[in-house]
Amino acid sequence: MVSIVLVSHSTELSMAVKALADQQIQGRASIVAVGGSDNPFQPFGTDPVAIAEAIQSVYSDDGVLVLMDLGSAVISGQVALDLLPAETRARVRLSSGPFVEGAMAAAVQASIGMDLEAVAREAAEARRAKDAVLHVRTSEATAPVAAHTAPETPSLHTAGADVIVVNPAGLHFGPAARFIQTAAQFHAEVRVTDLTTGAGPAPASRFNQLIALGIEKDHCIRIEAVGQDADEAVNTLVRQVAHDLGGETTPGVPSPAFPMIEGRGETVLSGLAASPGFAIGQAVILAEQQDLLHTDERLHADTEESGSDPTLELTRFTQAQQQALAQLNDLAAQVSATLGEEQGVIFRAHTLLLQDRDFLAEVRSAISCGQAATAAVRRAVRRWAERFRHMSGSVFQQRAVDVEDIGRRLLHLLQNDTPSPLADLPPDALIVATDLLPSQAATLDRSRVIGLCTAGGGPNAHTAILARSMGIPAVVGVGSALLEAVRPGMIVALDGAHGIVIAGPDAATAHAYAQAQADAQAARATAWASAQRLTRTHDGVRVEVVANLSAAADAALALDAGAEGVGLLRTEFLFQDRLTPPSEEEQTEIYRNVAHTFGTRRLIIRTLDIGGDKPAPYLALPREPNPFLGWRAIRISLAMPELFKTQLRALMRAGVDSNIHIMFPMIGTLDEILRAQALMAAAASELTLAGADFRADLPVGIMIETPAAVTMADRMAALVDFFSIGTNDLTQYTFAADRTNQHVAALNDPLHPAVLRQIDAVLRAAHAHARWVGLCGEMAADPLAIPILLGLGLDEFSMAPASIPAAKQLITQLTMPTARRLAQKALQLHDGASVRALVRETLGDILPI
Amino acid sequence: MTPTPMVEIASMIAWINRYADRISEHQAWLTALDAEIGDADHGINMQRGFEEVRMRLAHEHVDDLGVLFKGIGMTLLSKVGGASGPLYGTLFLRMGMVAAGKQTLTPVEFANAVAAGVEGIRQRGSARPGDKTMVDALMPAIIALHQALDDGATLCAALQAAAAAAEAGMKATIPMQAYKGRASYLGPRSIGHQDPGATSAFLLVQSAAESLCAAEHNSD
Repeated sequence: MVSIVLVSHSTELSMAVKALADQQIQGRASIVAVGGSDNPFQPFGTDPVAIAEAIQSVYSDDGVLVLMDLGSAVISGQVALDLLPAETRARVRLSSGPFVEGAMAAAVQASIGMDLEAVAREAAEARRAKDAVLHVRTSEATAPVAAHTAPETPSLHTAGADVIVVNPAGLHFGPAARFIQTAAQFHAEVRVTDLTTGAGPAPASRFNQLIALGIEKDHCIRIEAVGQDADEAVNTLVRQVAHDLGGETTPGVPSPAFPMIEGRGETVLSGLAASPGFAIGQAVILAEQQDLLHTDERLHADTEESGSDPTLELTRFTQAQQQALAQLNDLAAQVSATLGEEQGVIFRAHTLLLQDRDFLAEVRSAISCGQAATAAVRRAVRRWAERFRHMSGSVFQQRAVDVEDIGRRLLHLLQNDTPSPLADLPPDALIVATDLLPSQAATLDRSRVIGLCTAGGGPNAHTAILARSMGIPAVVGVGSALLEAVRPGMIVALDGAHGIVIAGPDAATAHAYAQAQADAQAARATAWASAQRLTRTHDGVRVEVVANLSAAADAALALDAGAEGVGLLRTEFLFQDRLTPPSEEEQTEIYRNVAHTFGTRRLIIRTLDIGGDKPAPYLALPREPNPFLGWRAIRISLAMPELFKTQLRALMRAGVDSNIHIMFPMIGTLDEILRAQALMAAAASELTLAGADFRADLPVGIMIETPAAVTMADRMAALVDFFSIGTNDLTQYTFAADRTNQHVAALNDPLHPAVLRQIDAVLRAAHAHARWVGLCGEMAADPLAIPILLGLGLDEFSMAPASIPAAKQLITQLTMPTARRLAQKALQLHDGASVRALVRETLGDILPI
Repeated sequence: MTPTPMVEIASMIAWINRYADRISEHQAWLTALDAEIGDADHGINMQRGFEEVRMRLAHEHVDDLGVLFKGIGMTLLSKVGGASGPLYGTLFLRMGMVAAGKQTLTPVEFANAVAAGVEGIRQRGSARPGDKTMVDALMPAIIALHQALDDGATLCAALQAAAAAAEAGMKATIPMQAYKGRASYLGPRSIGHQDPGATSAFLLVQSAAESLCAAEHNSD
């Protein structure tokens, strides 16, 4: 059960709130009060050490929620977290909820056994009840937009649709996990049938049954739903399946496995290319651990099969399962943060399997029949793994490894031992193993492990995916010859791009591999180091290279790539694929998190840019024949002021701690700017009324993406702090050519002087008013466009994080006089092709292409 | 060329004791500043915390700078009420992480340790320059300290430059509107008052310059 810690400046206040909450729940959850100072002359204060002790006094693996009154209590709460051991800290949340109402809400939720996230959510939203009673205006926006919510109808709707699976890995772990999470948002029973193989139907609430359908890429599946929002469920899921390409890219065509080739005293082995790069180092052979899953049962027959107490064993199993869940949640969070969301999903999928009703039922029924928990887990895991191994499609066979990973984790927990860590590695360790579990791969010490090769596994296995994202060269599927040829401590060379492993390389080979490894490391270090520097042209003029982000999760990636800030954070991800709009609190939290990642660097957040092409069920947007010319972006925001003001309030609240700039999309008229600013002022006065901490003077800018805005840029510049030119839309509006229509898309050339002249005009208008200008279209990363944009005077280049290092490198090689001459010539040319030819001709020696 | 003078445990203890003296001298002033825009306890709290630190330093033998700073940080966390306890505590805890296991620091290592501490304060309070907080004195000080050391100044000269920058930063808080801490509740009415946190932060940097310059001269 979740425990609660109440922190106040005043001992009396924290004790009184505790008494109030205790009375409400009659001691059904642990609440501890802490606060005040031990100095009688200064009785008010908070002590981080005391808070940390209070947390530990009520800590359990179910977690602890900390509510604080205000000011330094919040800071002390944060410091207290720092004082806790990492594993405890991971299960402690600081609540942004109001102290009294939040404590009551949290106590009630904890007492009915809700998990930490649910308790924290209720506490954070605890102010709403009072808002509603007192009819405070802010409450309207935190509730769903009533006019657009589907009416509650008791009758059951049914819906169904067929869709082709596009994800290269089919509907396997990651995509299946996302599918189930989406389906769970709807009040409808969803089931899936594979029409290609005839497998199913399987309920979308059952993870194992869904992946057991064996759905692969290009299979046609039928999604059916029964329930009050069946239509939305099916539409959302169909769109997800049709667009979910996942992030698990397969490296080029894997080379076929060859037997070993003897030559020059070295043993050359061939396997499957899993992660590119060269490595040469000392072989560290992962000792065949005592195989927990395949232990000879006869040895344990006495202890495991008879005499066990089912009640005790069930408790042990439940504890192990809960501990494993907590470990996997931590691992998923850590992997998401360091390697990426897509990699974190691997371990989130593990948690889903661990909570799968079918899997749990199988283990529990075996325990009830008298088996020890260990034996029951071992059997169930083996059976599930076998089931995956017998499925058609290599992806599913590799998933068996994931199941076994979970099984080993459970068995280790049940036996109270910890898996042997890869300790005492030499600084150039090359891991050699029969196979590596995903959780082992994710926790490899990147400062010591320089490469890995396995006898088993495949390039799509999670281990290989993790190795790629960690940048560790890897060869998999080498076969049993690997462990015959390699001895511990032997020098091994590895070419991850071509799937080659050389055991005991001769001097020449070793030298070549060492050289290649050193070159690659040096190149990476140089690119990374230069990407972290502020960008200046060769003659010292400073321009900014910043990132376009479509999800909060990309923030860390952008920083690594050398983003000097964010030129465009799209917020559509917050609004799509859900039934109700995100609350002010939810948005504030997400904006704050991204802002925290970027510290003092500028973070431009664009307000909602949604339209008929990107529907959200609660907006009930009409389908339009041409959504690009339709009701979208700022036009919708101005028509739905509560939705818009909720976002503005969240931005202004998050703006307190950060360098957030607000940007309005698709501005066409001066009036739109004025109306948006008026709503901002209204949102600010609502926040004042609510007593919220917020910043009303956030810099405000607009997207320049309509020819109307280009033409009126001189007037608009007087109203806002900055411009960002959206060349993708500006180009299609300039040529009146839909960029999604393949017959006309080719007309859309942003390097055409028709577009360049507009950019020139915008830059002149803005600079005349001392406003700076960014550009956030794909053009900002185009090496042929960069010199021209620089020459026209662009201040900020905003692009996908992956493009940043190359763009920075190019800019540092350019000089302003050259760029200006080039730009002026380009403005006088007659089409995009001649502009490109001019840039190539002038700068051919430094362009990367 | 003379060898680079090192920052030693004794000189750090001298710094902290000197700061405790300065806080005691200026307790009433700090409290008065806080009375204008806060809750009138900054001087009292700081005095209590640093007297406690001074007492512990007198009774405990420490031969590791990391342990020294960590001990100071933990004492401040427990003994200084209000936000300044966790904030000054964080400064020393972070310095302790950088200096862990060391008996001496080069001037640059010392500057890096202080920078880590100031970064800790900045993150903890999520304050930015211009928010009218201790960060307004500490950030310019750190920049000046690094700049002077880069230019080849002695540690004494670099700390004097840092103290001058901290003083300017402290005075610059007078016309600012507070966006952080209790003073931010006053909104525009916080304008025209010097920030007490920036003031105690300036005294910390000034004490460092005074005590380390004395140490540098003694070693000549």
